[in-house]
Amino acid sequence: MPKFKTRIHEFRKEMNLQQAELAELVGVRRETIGKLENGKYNPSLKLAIDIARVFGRSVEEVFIFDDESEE
Amino acid sequence: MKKEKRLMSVIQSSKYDSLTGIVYMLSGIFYSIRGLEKNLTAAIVFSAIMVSFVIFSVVQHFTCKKEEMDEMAYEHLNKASRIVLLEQGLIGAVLLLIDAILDLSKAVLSKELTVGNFMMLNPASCMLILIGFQYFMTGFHFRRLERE
Repeated sequence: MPKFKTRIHEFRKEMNLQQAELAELVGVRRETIGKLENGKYNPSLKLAIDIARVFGRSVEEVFIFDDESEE
Repeated sequence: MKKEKRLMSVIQSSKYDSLTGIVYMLSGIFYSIRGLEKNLTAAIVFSAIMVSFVIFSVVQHFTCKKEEMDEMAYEHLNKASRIVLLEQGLIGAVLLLIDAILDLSKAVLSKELTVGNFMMLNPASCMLILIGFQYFMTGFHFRRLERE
């Protein structure tokens, strides 16, 4: 299965946002953002789009599926 | 000025659910042990627990606002409920096996095991224990999934 990575932490730091602030912007709990950053939770498509919109990026830029681990 | 309600997180809410489960199970156990209702100390302790829980629930209802669950919380709750359902099936199977062993002991050894002398699992106590188990274990598994 492809490994799931996100660049949420990186973009969040760029925008100087706290986890709780980002969570409030996309309507989830702070814990959910924490799990997303650690790659321990796969978000719904809606949440992925909402997060990408906050950063002004595309979903593919924020969420990365590492195809190498598929082999 | 109206005082703002304290926010109760999803985790705290699940802890409260587990507490509710413990109270239900205690009630079930209380009603299933023969003669316990005639024991004044046990009745007082049981009543005190129930009254404290009711007061706690009422106070909490008026002073706390529950945090809304998000998609991850719903996913974890679904997983936790599914695990509890499997556990219930397993426990049911074990209880049926115990019942079969008790029946067998009666038939083969001509000797009845004396479980019924001090325990009586009437439908009410079974229901209370079952509901309590569901509440308690769902909360427990939910918190475990959230921590992972």
